[in-house]
Amino acid sequence: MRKEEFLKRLEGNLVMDEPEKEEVLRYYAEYIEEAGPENEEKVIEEIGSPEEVGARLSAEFSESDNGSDGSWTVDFSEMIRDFSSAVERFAKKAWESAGSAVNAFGDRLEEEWKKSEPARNDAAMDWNRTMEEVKRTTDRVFQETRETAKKGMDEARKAFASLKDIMEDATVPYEFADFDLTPFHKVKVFVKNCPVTLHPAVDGRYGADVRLYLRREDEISVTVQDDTLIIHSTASSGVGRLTGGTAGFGGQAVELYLPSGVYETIEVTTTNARIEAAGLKMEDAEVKLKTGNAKIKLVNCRFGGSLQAETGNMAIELEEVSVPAAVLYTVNAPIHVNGGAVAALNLETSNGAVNVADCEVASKLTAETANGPVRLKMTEPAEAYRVTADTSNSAVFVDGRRMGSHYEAPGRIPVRANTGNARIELTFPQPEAGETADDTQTEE
Amino acid sequence: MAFQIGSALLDACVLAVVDSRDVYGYELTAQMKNVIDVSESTLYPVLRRLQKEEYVLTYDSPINGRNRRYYTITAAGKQQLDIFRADWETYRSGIDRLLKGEVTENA
Repeated sequence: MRKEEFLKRLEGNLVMDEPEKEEVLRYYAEYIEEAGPENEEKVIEEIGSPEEVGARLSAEFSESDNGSDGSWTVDFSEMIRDFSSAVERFAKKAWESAGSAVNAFGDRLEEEWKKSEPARNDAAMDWNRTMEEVKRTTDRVFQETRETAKKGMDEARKAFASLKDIMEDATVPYEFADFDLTPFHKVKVFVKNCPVTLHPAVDGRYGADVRLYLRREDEISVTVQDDTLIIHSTASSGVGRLTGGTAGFGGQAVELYLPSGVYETIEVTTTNARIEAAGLKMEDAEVKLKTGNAKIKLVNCRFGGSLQAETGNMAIELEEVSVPAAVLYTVNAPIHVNGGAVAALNLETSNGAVNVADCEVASKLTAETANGPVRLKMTEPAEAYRVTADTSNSAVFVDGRRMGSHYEAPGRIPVRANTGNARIELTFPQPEAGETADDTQTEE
Repeated sequence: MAFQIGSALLDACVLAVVDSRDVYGYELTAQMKNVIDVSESTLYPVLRRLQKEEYVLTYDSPINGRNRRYYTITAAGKQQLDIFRADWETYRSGIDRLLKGEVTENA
């Protein structure tokens, strides 16, 4: 990479006052220039990635009037040592409780750990390399202790509890991957501005990736309560706070890879970040998703339990989602349900629109808005539904024909639609070929 | 090498280097790298902190058609360096005694 690109990318990753940013850029420009043009690429490579340098410096300088006693500087290496030793303790506890059969394996693990010591010490002052080393070793440890973790569940829980204390003090990007979720029956996630995506577990990918950028006052806890795994973070997205976006430190995310059939409850709450799931299939789970002002989008999911989704001002979108009962609520945003099958579907929004198309509703459908239209495109002919549709100040349209402000029709499956100031549009599949639908449209 | 260098100690070391003569960023990093494992990104916050405390000042000196920013120690910086040196002596000798297995009886 050349100097211009490095500085440009660094600038984009600096979160601090303008004057402070200029100082940083000047320092690095000068540093690179000193090396001479023939060494430019080499020196930039030595400095490392502009994104990481930017993140580190932003953590140091983002509050301009912080105490000048140097207390901002976090001893990264101490944090890594603590984390590494927590992992080590966890591995050790897991081994002990599993019995002597795995002692041999435990010895090997310890051996591996010791082998990596020179590399860890060399990397002590080099953040990038240190984190890579920790990640490599922890990946290995988690991977290889999965079986034993199941057996030594109590010990594992106690060991995980200690991660909370360690992470409370982190001010740097923290990432752990392939965190085994199998011992747990419930998953709860609370984050602020960090998008959460739920994936079905795939081969070799079985756990959670958590990548959060933490500031000194933030807290992340990964705790276990009975059989519930709780991931709780107060981290805001640093850049988002100052610039209004949530894109920020490239890649802040919580990604959970959930094996099917294991969970009773999956709860995800964010303040302002979207929640998405695709291809997720859960036999019995109750899924509760809540955001303040971000979108919830589920595609091709099947839940055997129930679904609750709530947002403030951004849309809820369900595409090919099947669940016995769903309650979807927004304040000011549209709700879209396309395809899939929801036996009991309950939709409510104040100022948004409700759009349901081609979703099989076997048991009942309720749609309520104050100021937004309700559009329901049903899958069965009209006779199947017992319709009650009310608008205060607008009209109900059935297959394009205007019916007045109130409409009722007899049938089996109750469909109730209520709006204040907007129209209700109902469409049903037309009768089979052979009969022509030749009613002319009449205006009142 | 098992031991990490804490932030106060880094401040002290950088201040001592600047005390011996005015240096610019690249030069400081190169010099310190000869002795301990640091990077320019570790040193930048140290320099900023020392500046904010007014232990060092900066001035620019043109060279080869561009500017080079030098760091120079102030009177307050020299005082602080003396304090650092005294603290270090106490700390260092205490650690030495422990590591050598000398019994520390408190009077």
